[in-house]
Amino acid sequence: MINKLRQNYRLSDVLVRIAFVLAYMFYSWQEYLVTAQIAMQELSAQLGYTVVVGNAAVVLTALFASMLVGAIMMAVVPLIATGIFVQMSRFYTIQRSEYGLLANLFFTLYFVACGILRLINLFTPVLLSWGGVLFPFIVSLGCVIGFYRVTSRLYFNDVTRPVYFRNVAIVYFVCALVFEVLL
Amino acid sequence: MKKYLIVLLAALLTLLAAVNGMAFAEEPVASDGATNASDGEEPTVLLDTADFIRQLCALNAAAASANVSEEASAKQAVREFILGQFRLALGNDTPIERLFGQDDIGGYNLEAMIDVEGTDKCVVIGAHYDAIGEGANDNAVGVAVLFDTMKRLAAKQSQLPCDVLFVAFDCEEDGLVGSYMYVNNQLSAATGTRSGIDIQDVLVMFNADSVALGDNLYLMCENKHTDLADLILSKSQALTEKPYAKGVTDLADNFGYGYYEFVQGTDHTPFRLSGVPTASFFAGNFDLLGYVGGSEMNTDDDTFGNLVNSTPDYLDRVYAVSGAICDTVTDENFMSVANNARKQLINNNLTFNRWWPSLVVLGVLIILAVFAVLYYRKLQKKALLGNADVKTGNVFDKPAAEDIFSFDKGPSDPDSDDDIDGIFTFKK
Repeated sequence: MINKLRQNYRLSDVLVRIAFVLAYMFYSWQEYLVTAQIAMQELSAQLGYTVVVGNAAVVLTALFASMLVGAIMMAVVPLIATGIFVQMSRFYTIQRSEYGLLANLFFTLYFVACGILRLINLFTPVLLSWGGVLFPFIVSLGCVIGFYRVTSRLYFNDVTRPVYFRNVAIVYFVCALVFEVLL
Repeated sequence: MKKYLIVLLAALLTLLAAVNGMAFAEEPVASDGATNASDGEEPTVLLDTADFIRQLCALNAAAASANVSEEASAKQAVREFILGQFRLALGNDTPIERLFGQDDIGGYNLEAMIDVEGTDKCVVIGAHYDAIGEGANDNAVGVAVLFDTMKRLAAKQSQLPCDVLFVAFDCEEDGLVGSYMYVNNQLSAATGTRSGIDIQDVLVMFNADSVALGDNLYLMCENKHTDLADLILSKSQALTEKPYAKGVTDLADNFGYGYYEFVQGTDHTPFRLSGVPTASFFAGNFDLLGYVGGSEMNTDDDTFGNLVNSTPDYLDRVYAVSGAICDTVTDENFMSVANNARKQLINNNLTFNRWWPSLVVLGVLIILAVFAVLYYRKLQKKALLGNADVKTGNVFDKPAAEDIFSFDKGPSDPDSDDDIDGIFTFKK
C-alpha cells in the first residue's frame, strides 16, 4: 500500500489533504460545537427568543465551519512551508511539492494526537487548564522533531544540515512562544 | 341533669372540633394562601416551609397546565405568591418583581432586600423559581431555601455585617437568562432602600438549586479548597464539598472555572463570570460519568408527591442549606473570609489555571533552547568533516521509463510489423 502510494504523488497528495481536513475537524470539534452553540444562543436572543435553534443546526454549523477552516489551513500550510520557509531559507535542493505534502502529513499527525488527548477533557476536567497548554506543546514538539528528522535525512547533507536545524528551531521556538506562552 | 349533659356534649363537640382543627390546620392555610395568590390578592399568613413548597408546586402545576390565554395570569399568581410570602417573611415592602425582555417573551426576577446601614457591601442569595411541571425539587425547594433564609436573617438583622439581597430568578431553565439579565442589567439598579449595587460590592453569591433529591447535599465554591468553603461547611454536618474534577465534563468553559463541568450551569454562573465568589448548593450523586441529579429533574414527574415519597427528609435539606447560609453570613469571621474570597478566586483560577501552565511551557522552552544550541554546535562540528554530497533522496519513487513507455524493437526486429526506427509509445 505504502509502496503504491509512493509511486503515485497525486493520489498521496489528495489523500493527505483529505486526512488533514478530517484530522482538523476531529481536533477542533469541541471548540466549534461550543462556538456554534453560543452563536446560535446569541442569535436566538437577538431575535427575542422567537426562533429556537435546534441541536442539528448547531452540529451542522460546527461541522461546516470546521471543515471550511480545515480546508483553508490545508491549502495555507504547504504555502507557508514552501513559499515562505523554504524560499526565505534558500534551500534549493528541496523538492517543494514533496516538502509541502510532508508538512501537511505532520500537521495531520499533530491534529490526530492532540484530538485524542483532548478527549481526556471530556472525562475529567482536571487536565483541562494544564492539559490545554501542555498537550499541544508536547505533541507539537514531537511532530517538529519527527518532521525535522525525516526532511533533514531526505534533503540535507552533513554540511547543510546545521543551517536547516537552526532555521527549523527558530521557527518552532517563535511559534511555541507566541501560541503556547503569550496567547 | 339535662343541662349538664348538654353542656358536656357541647364541650365534647368543641374539643373534637379543636382537635380536628389542629390536626388539619395546614389545609385551610394552604388553600387560603393559594387562593389569595391565584386571585392576585396579598397573602396574609406567613407559611411554614412545607406549606410554602406545597403551594408553590400547586401554582407551578397550574401554570404548566394552563392554556395560552390563562398562562400569563397563572404565572403572575406564582410571582404574587412568592412576593407576598417574601414580604411577610421580611416584614418590609422591598420585594418587587422586575421585568426583563419583552413582556410575553422575557420574564420577571423577584427581588427583596435587607438593608444594613453603614455599609455598601452585600451578599446575594438566589434560587430560580421557574419550573418544568410542578418543579418540586427543581426548584421549589430552592425557593424555599431562599424563603427560610429570609426568615432566619430577618430575625437576626442586628447581627448582619452587610446588606443581603434575595433574588428569585426566572428563566433559568431557558439557559440562565434571568440571572444573566439580573447581573448585566438589573443589579446596578437594585431597589430596596439603596439606589443600586455595584458588582464589585457583592461579596459572595449563594445559590440553591435542586437541593432535595439525591444521596448527598453538595456545596460547590471553587475548583480548589477555599476559606469560604471551609466556613460554610463548618456550619452544617449535612453538607459535603463537591468532588472536583470528576466525571464527564462540558465542552467549554462556559462557567469561567478554567475547566468544564456540566453541573455548574445554574444561576451563580453569571455572578461567577463577573468575578464574584460563589457558593452553590445542590443535591445528587457523582458516579464515574459525573453528576447525576434526580431522575425526575426537568420532567413532569418532579412533583411534590414524588418528592415527599422519595425523600421524606427533604425539609432537613432545606433547613441545612438555609441554616448554613444564615450562620455563615452572621459569623464574626464572614467579612474577612468574604473579602479574601475574591483574591482566592483570582489565585485559583487566573494564577493556577492560566499563568502557571504557560510559565511551565516557557521554562521547558528555555531548557529546550539550551539543548538546541548544544545540538547545533554538534552539527556544526560534524559538518567540518562531514559528507557534502548532494542529497537526492525522495519520498516518491521516480517511475522507470519502461513503466511509462513501450519501446518497439526497431526494424532489425524480425517480429516487428512496421519498419519505423526507434519509436516509443505511451502505455495506456
